[in-house]
Amino acid sequence: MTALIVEDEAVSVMLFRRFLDRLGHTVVAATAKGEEVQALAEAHNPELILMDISLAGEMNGIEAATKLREISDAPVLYLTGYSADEIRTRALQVSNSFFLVKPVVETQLSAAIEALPPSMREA
Amino acid sequence: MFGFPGVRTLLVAAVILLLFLLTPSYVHGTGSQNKRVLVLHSYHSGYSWTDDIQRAVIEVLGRADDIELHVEYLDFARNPHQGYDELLLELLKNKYVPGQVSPDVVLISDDRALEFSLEYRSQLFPNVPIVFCGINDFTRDRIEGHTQITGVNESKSITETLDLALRMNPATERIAVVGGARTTERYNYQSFLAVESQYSAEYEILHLNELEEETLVEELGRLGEETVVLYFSYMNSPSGTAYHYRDALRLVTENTDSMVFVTSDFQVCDGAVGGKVVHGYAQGEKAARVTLDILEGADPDTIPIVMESPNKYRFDERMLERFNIPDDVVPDRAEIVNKCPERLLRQAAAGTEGTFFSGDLFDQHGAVMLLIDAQSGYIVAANEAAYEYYGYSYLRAKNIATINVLSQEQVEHEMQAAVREQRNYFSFRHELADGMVRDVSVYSYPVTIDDTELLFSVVFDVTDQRAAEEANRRQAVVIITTLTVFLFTALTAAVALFALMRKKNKAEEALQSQLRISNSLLNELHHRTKNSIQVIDGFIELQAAENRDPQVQREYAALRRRIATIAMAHQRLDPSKTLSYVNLRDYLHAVVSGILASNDHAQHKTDVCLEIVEIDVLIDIAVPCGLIVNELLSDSLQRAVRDPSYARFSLALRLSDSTTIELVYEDDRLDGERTAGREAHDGLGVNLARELSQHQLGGRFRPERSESGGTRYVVTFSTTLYKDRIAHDSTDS
Repeated sequence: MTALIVEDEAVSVMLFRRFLDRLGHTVVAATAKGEEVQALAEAHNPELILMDISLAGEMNGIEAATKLREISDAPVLYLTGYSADEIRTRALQVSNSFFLVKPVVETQLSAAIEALPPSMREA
Repeated sequence: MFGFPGVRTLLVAAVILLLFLLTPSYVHGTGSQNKRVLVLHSYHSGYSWTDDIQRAVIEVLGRADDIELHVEYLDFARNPHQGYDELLLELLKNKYVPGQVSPDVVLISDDRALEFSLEYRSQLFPNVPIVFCGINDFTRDRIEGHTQITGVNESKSITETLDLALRMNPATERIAVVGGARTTERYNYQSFLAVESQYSAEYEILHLNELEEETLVEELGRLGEETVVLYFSYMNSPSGTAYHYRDALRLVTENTDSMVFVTSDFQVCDGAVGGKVVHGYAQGEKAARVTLDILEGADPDTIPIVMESPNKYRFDERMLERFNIPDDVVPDRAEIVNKCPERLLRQAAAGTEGTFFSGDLFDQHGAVMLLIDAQSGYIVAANEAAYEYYGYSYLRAKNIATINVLSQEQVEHEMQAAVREQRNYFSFRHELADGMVRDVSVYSYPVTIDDTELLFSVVFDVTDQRAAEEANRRQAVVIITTLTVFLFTALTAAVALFALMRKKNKAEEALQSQLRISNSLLNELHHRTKNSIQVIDGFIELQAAENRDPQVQREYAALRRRIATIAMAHQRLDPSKTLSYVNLRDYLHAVVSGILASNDHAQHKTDVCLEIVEIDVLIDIAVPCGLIVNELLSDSLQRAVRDPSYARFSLALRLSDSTTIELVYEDDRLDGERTAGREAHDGLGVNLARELSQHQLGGRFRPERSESGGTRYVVTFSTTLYKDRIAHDSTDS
């Protein structure tokens, strides 16, 4: 799968990139700003988006995912330190979205990707 | 030189014409629909005769909306000096300019004003109709040469008055005639002379006319009770002294013991008995009605002069009483002034003879009953109950006004209130003989006895009732006041409570707001903690990638498992429980799963049995628990790697009592080098587990040999070692 990483922590981006590489996926782009998500998705048409919620810039991860839905149905896997029900509920209102609470280890990420519906994984 | 008028001349003419057209016209019929009547009185305002005429004029003409009255009191009696007429003429000529302020009718009272008007008629109001009244013994020659004039004659009833006087004083021997030097007075005296012969044969006639005051008084003093005095008036002495009509009358009545009879209505006072009198009101009323006819179009020349003077009998009752004049001598329907109680009583006694008011039923009735003269207020009859109630030695002839303590104004107000409220009683306050003032309800019924209007009054003492009513009213006021105070207090309390609740609500809102902020802060803190752990894990991952030594890799992996174990506890903090509690069963399942997933155990057959009680514990308990499990399981797996056969692990966690947890970990791996309890041979993992159990959890760590020959670790610890740091304030922690 091709993946877009949206994360403001550089080390986390590197870590998730390594996780995905080891799991056989390709990271096509990464950004710290929600405002760039739509453009990058248009440019690279990723099959999976790893989305942090707290981002650089004005737009948070939930808003970026909502905006993304205007052009893409690619699954969004939130990776965030937020665990409050309110934020979880709001985040999951975006279609085809899933939620993992940081810190995320490779096995968790693997399990989450494996849990995606087959059509999404094969897309 | 004649020529065409210049423009300037034309302009001036136009302006004059315009001014003329725009000047308000006071001429009747051109600028006003009102009819104008000029009233000229010979005498002054305050002169009873003139006042009566004026009262009648207003009564008849003043009610019409379209009649405008102009009234002039020419005041001749008080201004007998020469030249006064000319002054008046100038005044009136300036006030009533013919063609501008011009009357439709001139109404004149008394001789002097008529004489003056006829003399100056052409200058003052030419061709304006004249109506007169109060003209003494009118004859046509008085208006000779004049048209558009009519009116009412005034003739003294000299013979009727004298005849009556003689009947009232049968002992009369002399008739004294008193008159002054005024024109009218002289004329009146002349009138007497015309009838003198009817009496001179039988009575001595004393001519006390045109005397100076001193002489007059002296003459009057000589008169006795056998004399009747016929008094015309004495407003001017021969020497020109003017007297007020009442002063003049008193001058006569106070200086003689004789009955004094008069011929004018206003003279029935100040000691005069009365007589058949010329009547000012009746004169004015008749003249005003004639005026009304003329204003409505009647021709004055066709209206006959009223020659029969509208005179009336009028007597002062106190004088009738003083001179013991019997009632039967007083003509029926005579006007009686200054009523006196004695006479009333006598009349009432006669009138009520044989009626209810003279019988036992009235006299002995238990209710307080009074019979009161409606006009004067004198009590003419009272029953025994009334005497007993009021306590006065006499009630008859007492005026009710002396008993009623209310003022005349208050009495009238109460009478109006009774009519307004449609009640048949009056609420008065009566004073008793002992000075007590009582509240009474007076039920009055009109009774007419011998043409006298009386009030039959039944009096009820309602003082106690009023007091009770007042007490009730005060009690009601007290109750209402109490209720008001109570309601006010309750309302104030309610308002205060409401304010308090609002304050409390606000405080609660503030608290909730603070709590939300605290939760947000806590969430954010946990978020950053988890993010930081993620970053630390990333650093280790990246650092580990730099070294390909398997041992180093294993050590990095162990380190990352420990960090992941801590992170999992943070991931599972329950937001509904102040972010301090972790479900231990869920957490340990995740820890075990994570370890198994990250190790190479997949290539070995493993059998993990977990029996973990469902319990929420503080993160202070959960993390060491998770680390203990991590260390022990990782240790087992390490040894399993060295012996890649079938491996079996079990983890049981149960409550030995309500606050004590017993964690039992067991594997089936035999370690020849290690014997339970020999700490020196334990690796880092088991030592960490021991320290965590004993030091951090304050519990016991007991390694044992299991029944299967494997290793068993029994860890026992209390759940109460730590407190919820967030739920307790800083002083508790």
